[in-house]
Amino acid sequence: MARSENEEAFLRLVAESFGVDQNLIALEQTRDQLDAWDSLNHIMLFMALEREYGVKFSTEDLEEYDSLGQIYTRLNLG
Amino acid sequence: MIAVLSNINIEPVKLFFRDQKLYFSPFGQYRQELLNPESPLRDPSLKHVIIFLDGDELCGDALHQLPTEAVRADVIEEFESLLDMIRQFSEESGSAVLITINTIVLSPYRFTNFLEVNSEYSFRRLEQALNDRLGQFAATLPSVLVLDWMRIVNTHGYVNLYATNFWYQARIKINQLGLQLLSEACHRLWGAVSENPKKVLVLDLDNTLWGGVVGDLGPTGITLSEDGQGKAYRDFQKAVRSLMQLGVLLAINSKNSESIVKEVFESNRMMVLQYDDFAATAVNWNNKAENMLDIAANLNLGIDSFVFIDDSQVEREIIRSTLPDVTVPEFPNDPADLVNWFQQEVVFSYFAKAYLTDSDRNKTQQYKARNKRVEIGAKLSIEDSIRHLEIRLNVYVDPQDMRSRISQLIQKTNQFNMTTVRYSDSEIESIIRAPDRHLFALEYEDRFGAEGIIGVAICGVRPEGMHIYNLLLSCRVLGRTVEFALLKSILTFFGPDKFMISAPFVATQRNEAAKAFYPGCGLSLEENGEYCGDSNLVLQELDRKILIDEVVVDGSQ
Repeated sequence: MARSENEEAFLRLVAESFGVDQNLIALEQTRDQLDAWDSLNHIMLFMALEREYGVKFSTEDLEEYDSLGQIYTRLNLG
Repeated sequence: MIAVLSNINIEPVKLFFRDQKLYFSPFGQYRQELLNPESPLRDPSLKHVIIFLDGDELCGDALHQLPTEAVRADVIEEFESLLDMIRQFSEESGSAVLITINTIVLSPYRFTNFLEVNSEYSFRRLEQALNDRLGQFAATLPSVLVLDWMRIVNTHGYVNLYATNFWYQARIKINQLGLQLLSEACHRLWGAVSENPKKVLVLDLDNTLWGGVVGDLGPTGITLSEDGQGKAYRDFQKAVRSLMQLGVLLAINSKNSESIVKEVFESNRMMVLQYDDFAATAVNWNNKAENMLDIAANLNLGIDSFVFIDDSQVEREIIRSTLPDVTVPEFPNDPADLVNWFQQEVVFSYFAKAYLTDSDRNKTQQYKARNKRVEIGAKLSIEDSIRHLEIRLNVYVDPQDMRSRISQLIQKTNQFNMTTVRYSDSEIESIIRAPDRHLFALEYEDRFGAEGIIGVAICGVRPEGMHIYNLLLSCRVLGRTVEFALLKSILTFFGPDKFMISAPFVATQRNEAAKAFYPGCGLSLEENGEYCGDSNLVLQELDRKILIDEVVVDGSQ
């Protein structure tokens, strides 16, 4: 199934934050499946999301979120 | 390699240094790194050290004490010891490593509140003292640069650049926008030190240094004053003039008569800039690209050190397409934006300097002293730049429906006007109706848009041939062979057989621009004071000059 524009943009931002090719990123992925998703890139991802989507994540969010699908849903992009 | 030392975690800044190799000091160890002989800071590939100091972290627990002079002195002493370490590192690493330190910013709100500005118990004073000390320190060390983080925070706002939600988990204080601005500022600052900055600011005059067209309004009629829009231009002139103190050379590249421009500088008391301020001037009716090369030759500088400011999109495009090495920024639509636009988009982008030498300060005099021509490497094709505009002309013969615009042109055009005879509306009316006289109205359009009717010619049939009573053109389209194309369509209209042309020229104080037109068409001055010539020879001359392919006369090509 073709990805929506929202999904494409989201995945592009994730790839940029992680410094990896966008083809390696999919919504289904979780933190333990992605080598690039280390603790610094974790923060960098949320910094980028805050700027792009104008949202604010709490310390609790940062500790809790560990899958791309979960974040995507929280941003109401689906 | 670039090494980043900080008392907070700013590692996410790497997003904006993607092409460079970065090294971040381990958290909390930035001081030790400076002194450690085993540190990656001793790597021979190291070019830059960025030392980013967060103000609140630098002050530490002092921020929770009433900031008496003693408390402030303790913080400053601590800061001094850090600067000593930096000095030692700089002396060891020599000039190969550039050290960039930010101005210190404290978070805006704290328990001292109103005391900050109403008493001596002020952290703001401490912030000021730290930055003063930093400035003195950097001035003594040639390879230490200060990056003005405080100005960035003032411009964008503390609350927009700092965030606390990543602080407790990751010791990150500055958000992505803040880090981007920080990295951009670094690159700008380093560029100002290492790259060749621009040296010459080349300026247009009409609607750039003042409002309106001086050729039409006269030296004191232009918009330049102490209020309204005139003040915007005057303030712009002040901003331009201040650049001279940085060693930037000023030059004029303007389509105007030099005599009237000089008169503006001499007689308009609202002028801030003086004619002497310009290291080179090209005020004439030539193509501006040609003028630009003349200025470069006069100053003996490459055009890659030139920045050109002109309100006309067409002129900007001519320079961009013929002389791509010249930097040509856009121009604001509203004169009210001139100064801010100039400071941000022109001065900050192209003329920002981190050091100033004595020689910078009297550059204009040095350059005015020399005036030698040199060979210019650039290959100029003015022809190409004019063709690039894709000019389309429409010539209307005896049009019925453009009376008011034609009348306006006849009344207002001073510069490119062969006789400056001001025909009244009823005279225009009768010319259009007369079988032996014709009025030609010229409409102009190019790839940037339509200018509408910009030229008028009034011609008549006489026994000995064709007579041009008058021919005039708005000066904003001069230098693009439009005037030659107009004459050619007139000749074609009266053709195809050969005939004699006669045309009077009446010199005024303002129509110097028109003086060379008839001779340039191959007409010669006869004893009766009129320019005369053979239509075939003139056509040949015009064909050599015209660079416009699309000329439509009354709907047919």
